[in-house]
Amino acid sequence: MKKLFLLLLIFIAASTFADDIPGYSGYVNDYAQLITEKDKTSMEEVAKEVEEKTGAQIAVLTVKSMSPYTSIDQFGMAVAEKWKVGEKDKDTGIIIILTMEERQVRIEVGYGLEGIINDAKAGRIIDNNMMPYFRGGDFSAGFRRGLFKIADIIGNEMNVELDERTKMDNNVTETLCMVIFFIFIAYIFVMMIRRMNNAKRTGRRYYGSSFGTMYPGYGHGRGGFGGFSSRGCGGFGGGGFGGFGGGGFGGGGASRGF
Amino acid sequence: MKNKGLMIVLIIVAVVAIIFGWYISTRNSLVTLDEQTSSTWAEIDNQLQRRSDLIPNLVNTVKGYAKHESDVFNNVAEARSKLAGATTVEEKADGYNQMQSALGRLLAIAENYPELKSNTNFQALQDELAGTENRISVARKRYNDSVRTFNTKIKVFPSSIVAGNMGFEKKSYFEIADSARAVPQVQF
Repeated sequence: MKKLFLLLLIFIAASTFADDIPGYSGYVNDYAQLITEKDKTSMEEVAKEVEEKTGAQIAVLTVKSMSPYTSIDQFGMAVAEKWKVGEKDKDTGIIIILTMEERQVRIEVGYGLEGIINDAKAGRIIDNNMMPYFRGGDFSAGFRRGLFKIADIIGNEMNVELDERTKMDNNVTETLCMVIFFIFIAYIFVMMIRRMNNAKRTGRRYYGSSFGTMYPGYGHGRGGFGGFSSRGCGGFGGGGFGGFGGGGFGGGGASRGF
Repeated sequence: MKNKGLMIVLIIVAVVAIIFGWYISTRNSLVTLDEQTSSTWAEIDNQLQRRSDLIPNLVNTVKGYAKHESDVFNNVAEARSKLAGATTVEEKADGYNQMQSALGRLLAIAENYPELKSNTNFQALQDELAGTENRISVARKRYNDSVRTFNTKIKVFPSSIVAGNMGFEKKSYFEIADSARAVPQVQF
């Protein structure tokens, strides 16, 4: 029995090694390490929002090399068949794939999205939204713009309002967040000075624990800032990825070399 | 003595029931496999048709820039009509191969006409063509896989007996020439 179990284990191990397709751990799977933490977070938030509102799933994969596969089309299909991105039966999945060594990028479109994003459109997204950044070596921004564009198209076609973020550049959001953050800090500062002045007048010392009682959220570390991430400001996790749904692919999409 | 006779009858009945059950289930699985090859084949057919539908548009776009390359246009038209007339798997595969080389030459023309290459309509058509070709290759793989399963099942004993009774025959693979892809990769 023990031997059988061991044999089974070896078999499982062997079969996973033989499998050349990497697994997924979220919407964005950056094995080639091209995407910044900040972009990853905002991409995952947008992907999450798209899934919640439309059921469509957007996945991202970057790998250093796609070997032993020789064409991005075959590699993309193998990934699609393994990951099964998209809602089951509706097949609304889409995967953006990049392989660094072979310098290929592909958008793999599931059956259910072929009507919304046909091959020509997929090609245009790569050409217009991703390639300009890729040429400058900014892969992270290229992926961000590509994913936002796809989210925007899906949102429009399915008649749902997505967060404005998909339309504006991250930098704009960032500036906005910075402004909000500074106002927040300034407010705390003013309040503290006021209280200290008050304290001087009444003769009470006002240091130490006062900070925590004034702003309970701050006292608990990240708690007070949690609200930011939902508006796209912070880097506090995209959270709540529930796995891909079982969508089918038939080889639609477009590929480019860069 | 009487009991023994009853036992024998019971055993015979049980054996017959088991064989009968096996026969039915094998038969059903063969029918399912047969259906699978038909449905996967339908997908290839679909995509071949889709590609044929794209071609007039593509040819017209290229003609706008390279009128005099009539040889190439004729080749494409010929391959298209051949494919339209094909009925069996082999004929379609033949037509596909001929179309592949005709399209390869058509797209090679584009290399000599920079204006055509940068025409957005042409680029869109090229993407559609590449996508369709990729769909054909995906459908082809699925079809060939289902044919392989089917062919194995009807050849291997004991399911071969059932297949023989039902008159199932080996199905053909959709085989295509190993030549270069018709659609060149778009490079930047």
